[in-house]
Amino acid sequence: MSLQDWTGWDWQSLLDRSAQLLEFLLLLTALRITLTSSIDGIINTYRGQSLILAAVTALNAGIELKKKNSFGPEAQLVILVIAVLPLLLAILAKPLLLRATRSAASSPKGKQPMMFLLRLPFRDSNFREAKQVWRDASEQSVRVRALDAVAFIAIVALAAYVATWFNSKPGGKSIRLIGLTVSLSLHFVGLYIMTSKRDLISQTVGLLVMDHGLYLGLVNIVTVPVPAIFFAVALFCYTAITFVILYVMVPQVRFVEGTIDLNKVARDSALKG
Amino acid sequence: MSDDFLINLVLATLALPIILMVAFLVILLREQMAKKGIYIEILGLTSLIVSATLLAMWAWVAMAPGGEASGLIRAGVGWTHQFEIWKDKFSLDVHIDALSLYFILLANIVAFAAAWIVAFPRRGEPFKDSAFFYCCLNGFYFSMLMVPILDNLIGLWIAIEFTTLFSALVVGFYYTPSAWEAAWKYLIITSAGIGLALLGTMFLAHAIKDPSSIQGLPDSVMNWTKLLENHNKLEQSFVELSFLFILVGYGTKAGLAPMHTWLPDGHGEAPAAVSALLSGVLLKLALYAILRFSILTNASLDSKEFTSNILLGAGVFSLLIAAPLILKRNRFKRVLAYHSVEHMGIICFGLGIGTPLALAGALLHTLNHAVTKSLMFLAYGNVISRYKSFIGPSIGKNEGGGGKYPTGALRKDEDDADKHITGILRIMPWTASLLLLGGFALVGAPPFGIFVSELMILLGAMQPPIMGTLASPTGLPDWAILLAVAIFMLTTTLIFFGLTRHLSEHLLGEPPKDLKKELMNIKDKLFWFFFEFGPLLFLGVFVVAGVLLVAWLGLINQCVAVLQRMG
Repeated sequence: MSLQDWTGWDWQSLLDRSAQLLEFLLLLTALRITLTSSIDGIINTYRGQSLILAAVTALNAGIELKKKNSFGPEAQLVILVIAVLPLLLAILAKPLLLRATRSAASSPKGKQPMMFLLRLPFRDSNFREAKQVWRDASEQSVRVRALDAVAFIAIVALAAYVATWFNSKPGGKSIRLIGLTVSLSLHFVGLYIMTSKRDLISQTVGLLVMDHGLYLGLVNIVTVPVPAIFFAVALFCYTAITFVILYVMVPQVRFVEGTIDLNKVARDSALKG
Repeated sequence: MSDDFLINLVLATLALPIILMVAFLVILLREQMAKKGIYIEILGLTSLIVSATLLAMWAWVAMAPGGEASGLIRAGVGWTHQFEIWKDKFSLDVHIDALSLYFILLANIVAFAAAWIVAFPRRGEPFKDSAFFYCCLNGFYFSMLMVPILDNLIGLWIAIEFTTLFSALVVGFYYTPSAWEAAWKYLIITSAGIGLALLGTMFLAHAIKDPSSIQGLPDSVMNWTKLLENHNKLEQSFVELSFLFILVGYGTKAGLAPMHTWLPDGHGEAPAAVSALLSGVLLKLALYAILRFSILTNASLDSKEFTSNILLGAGVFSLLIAAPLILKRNRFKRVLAYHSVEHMGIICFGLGIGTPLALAGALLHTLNHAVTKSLMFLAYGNVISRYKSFIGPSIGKNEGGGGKYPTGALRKDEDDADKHITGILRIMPWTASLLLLGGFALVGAPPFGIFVSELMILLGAMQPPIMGTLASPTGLPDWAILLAVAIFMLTTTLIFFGLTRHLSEHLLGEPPKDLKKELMNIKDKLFWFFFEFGPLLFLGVFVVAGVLLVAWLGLINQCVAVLQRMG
């Protein structure tokens, strides 16, 4: 007896439904990131989201394979990039952010801060100190969870509206409604996280969530092989820049500001008006 | 001018800044290198020579009388070339038409002035002997030049993304808390915008109904020229959605309200040369990207109404937002940055009106604003260097603090930093004169270029409702256009008073007690003239010579023809 005989579904439907379920899980992880105030919790949820995204990409590859019985080197490259990049971020995001938090230690006198920060190690017992910084910042953070929840729902509703409009147009039927909704939602939820969270680390995670929206967008929106390769290259460059942000910019900001609390930075800031 | 010449010029334009960037990177990584300062100075001088050469070459392309390539650019078709990277699979496609040539020239003029002023910085300037600064600056230059050269819209996005990275790294260069706060804000907001622009480009890709019907190498499907040729094969509703995302996305980089919030911080905190490049060039290149998509959208929809209305709305909104912010008391560099929001609003206003005169005025305004604003930033940068001993520890390298959570430089002083900068006319009369010239030009006083371009935009806007000589592409009723014109005139008048007041506070009055006019020997005077005043004079000539339209009118007319292409 085949799968269809057991379940009434063929392989393509099964893969499709699995992809939809995972995309829904992506939304739930985004909701958790929005509502939680613990920095460690935010980062761990983000890592989970990255793994789920990699799985969604693999499933979409399977769907493509089932439809066409093969996928060419172009599609392989796209899938490789789009599946591997979230995996890389899942592995490296936390150590990089711990390293950035740890950069508070002063540079040896006479050394250029940039060169000192570029050479900060990863593995370090001072990561305990960094985690303490995260705990302190989390305790001080005051979230109005109801407001965050309302904002999240509004964003998803807007994304669903745009996706439905898209789907209703000729040529739009090829795009999966849920996939596009989740892609747009992740992008705008990431933007909301960046603007509503008041610590450096959470804002960085918001930027990374926006990246996930773009990866999923490529998988769902661009249905033609050749531009997809170029978009994969573009996303690769975007991710490379994200790594530069994680490796260079975040430690730099942390080092100079002396805190990850951006409320404190804003209170002391000369950038008013 | 032959095909080969243009090919070699494009290769030189893309390769030379990269080579310089790599050279600076090598110096950066070799911390213990002997005579590092001398190598940096030599490479700084080389960067200056490279930018001067590229400017001269591209200016010659604009003026060259004959040749097939030149003919194609002038005819509005443009010159296209494929550099094959991977045979039959991948190529780097280049397209130069009047519009891209115009923006290449604009970028090179400002980049040359910026390279000139940083080639031999004063002792005590934080970026003196900083290989990192020059490495990022060359990277910034390279990525800026890529934008108007590439034909592929995804390549264009990648180029703009790299400008974000390189510029963010140098915005925070002064290592003060406010500088890095500004760099972080700039990075976050523009990255969000860039993400939306990529989504917009994806929607455009989805709009292609049948990619196999677009002839050429498979990777040229997202080339602007190919999409324009095949505009009738694009799904219209996706093209409209794409344009909306593109306007918000690239509009963030272009400093259009309400996405402009990074602008005053980013431009205000960066070193002067970087502020000049950000305000003078980067904003315009983001606008260039919007223009490319608007041409495609107009062709696909077979009407300019959609893009004209949106651009007009964005322009008017930016003007309304910028006016009160310029009137507010603020640090001068931030005032200049808000001015950029205003001028980008004026340019979008002209582009939105869409009559040929308004389009020509908008394009001329792009150049006029680029050179005038750059002059102001560079001149004011020289002033800050001179006055810095009276401003406090916020300017200059911050080594970072000790302790568990170092707090960096004294923050409160930064708020009042500018109030010590008074009496510039007495301390630095020549620089003050150029500041005054630039200030008058910036507020649209005659007979300078900005006055002329604003007048062209206004007359172009008046053509439909009052003169009745031409229909506006916006399709708006006359009263709506007149209302937009009234807002334009009101905001530009208010801004006139705002900047004049700010400028007079700094130029006039008594200078700080212990600050005297610098006594320079012959060698210092020559150094000052060539490396500090020279770049300002160069830009000053453009500010004044903007009045002499003849040199630019031909190229601008060709640009207008490109903007009005419907296929």
